[in-house]
Amino acid sequence: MLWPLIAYSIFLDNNHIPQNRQLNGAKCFQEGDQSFASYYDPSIADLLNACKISWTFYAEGFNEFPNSDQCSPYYYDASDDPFTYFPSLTQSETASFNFRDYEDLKKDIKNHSLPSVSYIKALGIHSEHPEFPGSFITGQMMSNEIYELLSNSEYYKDNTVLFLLPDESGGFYDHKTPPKINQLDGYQYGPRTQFIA
Amino acid sequence: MKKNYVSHVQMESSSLIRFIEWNWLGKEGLLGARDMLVNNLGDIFDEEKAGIKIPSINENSIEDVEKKFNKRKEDTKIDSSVISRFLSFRRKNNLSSSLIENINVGGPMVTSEANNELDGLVNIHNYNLKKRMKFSNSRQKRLENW
Repeated sequence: MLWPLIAYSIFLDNNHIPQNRQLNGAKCFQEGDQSFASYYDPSIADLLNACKISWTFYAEGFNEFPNSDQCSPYYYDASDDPFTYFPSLTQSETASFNFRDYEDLKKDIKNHSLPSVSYIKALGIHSEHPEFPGSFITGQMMSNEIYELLSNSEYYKDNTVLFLLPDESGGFYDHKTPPKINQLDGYQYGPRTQFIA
Repeated sequence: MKKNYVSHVQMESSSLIRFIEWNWLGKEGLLGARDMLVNNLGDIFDEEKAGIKIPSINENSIEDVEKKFNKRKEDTKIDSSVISRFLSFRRKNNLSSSLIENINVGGPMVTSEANNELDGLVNIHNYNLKKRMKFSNSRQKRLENW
């Protein structure tokens, strides 16, 4: 991706679908509804690969390989997995390890085979977006499941940090004024979001 | 972690990237972007339990980022016309204020006109990339240099 756009914090995931329709999780989208895009600039995942640090993006529903009728929020959507926009990552030698299903996370915790860095993404219906009925509590149940799996693991409980990170603010009011305009990109910050460790 | 602790250090999503860089790569700000300016996550960790002091407050300045940006611009040989178009577009539209038309629940909304312009820039960039397929070979080298 054009590097200034990354640095200036412009997010295109609402307008672009990763790469092409053949990609897992992208079959629902037609060219024209939204455009397909591939990005080439280095990301944190490239740095981890270059330094041989293992990482995995565990996406719920990934192994279902949804067809063109099976769409978000009920099925895996590639545009929710930021690393799928990068051909260097989806076509790398370690891609089958880097892009996996949420079920694999449970196995990896059990088998003591977690990578150094793990990202976890729920399906839309478990994402706590308020428009999906029941999703608020189902999202919390999923967060709790991950927390319990880690804290019940003798192997991981003392050396693992779990971050819960929503990508949007959930409230309509914040008594605290957002920080001033960011000097790097000229954008103002929005309302705060919770960030739990 | 500090238990039942609310940190008042300003952090954002890229703070996580900075923490990953610090913890696993041994150096922060490697991407030369927001990861050079945001605070690290140190304030939420208990120094005694972690056994090490994790950095918290960012020490880089905007000038450091620009320096790195200029160096990186040379490294990656991004078509300078794309960058100058992007920057002049920002100036022309007074991006620092006009793009923030609606402070919505989800944060700033980009106007459709600006969005189209940015799409155009991305397309130009992708076209330029196709023209130089050696990109991926030089990529590994650049990463090593970092």
